[in-house]
Amino acid sequence: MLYGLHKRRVYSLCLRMTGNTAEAEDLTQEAFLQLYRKIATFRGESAFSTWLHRLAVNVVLMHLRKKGLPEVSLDEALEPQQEDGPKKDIGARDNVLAGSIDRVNLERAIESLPPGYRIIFVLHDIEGYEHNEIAEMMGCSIGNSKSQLHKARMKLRDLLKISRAEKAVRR
Amino acid sequence: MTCAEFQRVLPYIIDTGGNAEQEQHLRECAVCSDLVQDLRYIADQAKLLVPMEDPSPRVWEGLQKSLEREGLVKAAPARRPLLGAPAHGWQWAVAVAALVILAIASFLLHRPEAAPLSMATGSQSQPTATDQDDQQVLQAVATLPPDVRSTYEQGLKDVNAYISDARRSVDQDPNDPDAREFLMQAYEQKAMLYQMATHSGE
Amino acid sequence: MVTRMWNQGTKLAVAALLGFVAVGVVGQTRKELRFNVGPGANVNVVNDFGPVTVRSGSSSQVLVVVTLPSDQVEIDPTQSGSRLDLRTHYLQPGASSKPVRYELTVPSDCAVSIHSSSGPIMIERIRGDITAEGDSANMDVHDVSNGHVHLRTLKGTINLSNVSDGHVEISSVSGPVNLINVSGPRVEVRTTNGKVSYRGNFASNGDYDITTHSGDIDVAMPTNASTDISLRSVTGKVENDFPFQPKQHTSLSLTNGRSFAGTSNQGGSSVELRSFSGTIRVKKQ
Repeated sequence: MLYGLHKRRVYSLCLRMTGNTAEAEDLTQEAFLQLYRKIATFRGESAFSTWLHRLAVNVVLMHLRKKGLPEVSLDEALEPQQEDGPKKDIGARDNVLAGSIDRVNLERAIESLPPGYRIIFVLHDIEGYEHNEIAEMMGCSIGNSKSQLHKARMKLRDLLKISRAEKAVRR
Repeated sequence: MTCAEFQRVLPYIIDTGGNAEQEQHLRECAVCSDLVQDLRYIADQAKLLVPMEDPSPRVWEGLQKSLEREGLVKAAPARRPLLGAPAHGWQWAVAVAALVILAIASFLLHRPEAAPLSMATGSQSQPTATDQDDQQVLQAVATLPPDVRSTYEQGLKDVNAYISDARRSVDQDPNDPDAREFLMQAYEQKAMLYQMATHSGE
Repeated sequence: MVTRMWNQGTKLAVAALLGFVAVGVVGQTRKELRFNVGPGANVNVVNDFGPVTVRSGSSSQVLVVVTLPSDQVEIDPTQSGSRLDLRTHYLQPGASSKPVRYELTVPSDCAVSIHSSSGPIMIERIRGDITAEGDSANMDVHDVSNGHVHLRTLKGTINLSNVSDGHVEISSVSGPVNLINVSGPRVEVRTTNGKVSYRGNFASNGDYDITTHSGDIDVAMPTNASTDISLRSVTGKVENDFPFQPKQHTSLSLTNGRSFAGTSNQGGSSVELRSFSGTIRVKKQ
């Protein structure tokens, strides 16, 4: 019953954070296995779904750490002068995105984000974690979390504009 | 303030707002204003992304096998009766009952508003899963001193009355957030009682 | 978790104990055990029947004084670094009807976790996290700060006084809960039909959340308390005798005599009092 109720949300979280179907399925299975092992420790101090969700996030992050993937690139945080994105927006005006994004394009764009950007974006903008929570989970600073999120959104903006332009050309 | 200066601090102010100078630049600069509008739009659209896909059936099959291997569940077809079960058998039964309670509570609080409660929790005439679980809890504490047993018996009556009142309240007004909160807390009280029963028996 | 699963094979050697003293009293044995621990130690006690008292001391040792009713009961200590587990072990069925008394003196920053079915449990002057659970154990927690306090009981009476600067979470089915000068970033009390009494000023700009099924809620607060308060009883009564500034615009559905929302002073702390059928009373202290 628990699996049936929560499998979709847990699987979606794992899929968005990893970008890989097979990995996401393995991680979903591991998250529920840990749930059954740890259920006795749940004391009701948060909503059960919140507790399960956090458990799933930790399972994914541990998996990524074992793979050696940089969840957040600390080097980027130490080189503020080399930020990408902003320069081309200075002095030039482009059509805004509002009203032009559909769900499929957005999901595709998220999938093609670099892993470090994708994880922060999923945790903050989709799953609703605050920067202080992300910083604690990822072992980075709050400023780093904000910086990575900004880059993720900038990258998505570029991808979505390209996608929109391609669509316009195809018509 | 230049656009470069504004966009350098943008990651740290976009969600919380900037100082007077930064806000003024935002009002006056169309490029930065469009940028901020786009980024906020992306963030807003992301919030609307709902989970759409289920994992393949192999995930459940794999999970079942792992749970059986670890002794967290028994293999099909049926659970063995409580009496005569190994010493840890009733503990797992009670833990499953706690899971069921929390699952029911979670389902009830997240179900579509229009769905009536009685459909979600079974008909009144047939014993529900939770009635049987209550019996297992009482059997679990049966070997404890009489005053402890009576504490659990009375506790179960009290929390079941709470659940019953809260259910009625949600049925009468599904949109009342307090009613739903009462029901969740009633189930949490019951889950606490189940968990304490497992501790008492150790 | 309060209780611990024991693996007899992991018990540490008696070399961890210092100063073991057994004093023979008619029918009883008193034992004294000492354990060296580091900062932030963790002490867990499982004692189904009998009182457990925990106080803070000035040393970095845990002193345990246990009074055993007979030689049919012993205590099993296990220490791993700064984590100490103490469990009462009955050698024969039937021996468990006699209570075992624990008196602990611990470093003030120690985290303490107690399970005693019958209790009573008394904890004072601790700055670490406190967890206590007992079916019918009365629990008294006084003069604690900085740590989280988690208490669970079915019908014991819970008394807290002078507790601050941590999260307080209390869950009781039918036992009454009495809070005096309890404040913190979050204070949460849940009962089914246990009565809840709060005396204090809801300080610290915290979130205070008290919910009962049929238990009455009685609050007395000083006029300088800074609160944003909402009260609601679904089928019971709400009696307000405090000079709040009523709120007209609120998400709470306002029904005369059954609900109320208001603020006092700067509205610093959020206070929500909810009962399904109990009476909620708020008055000046």
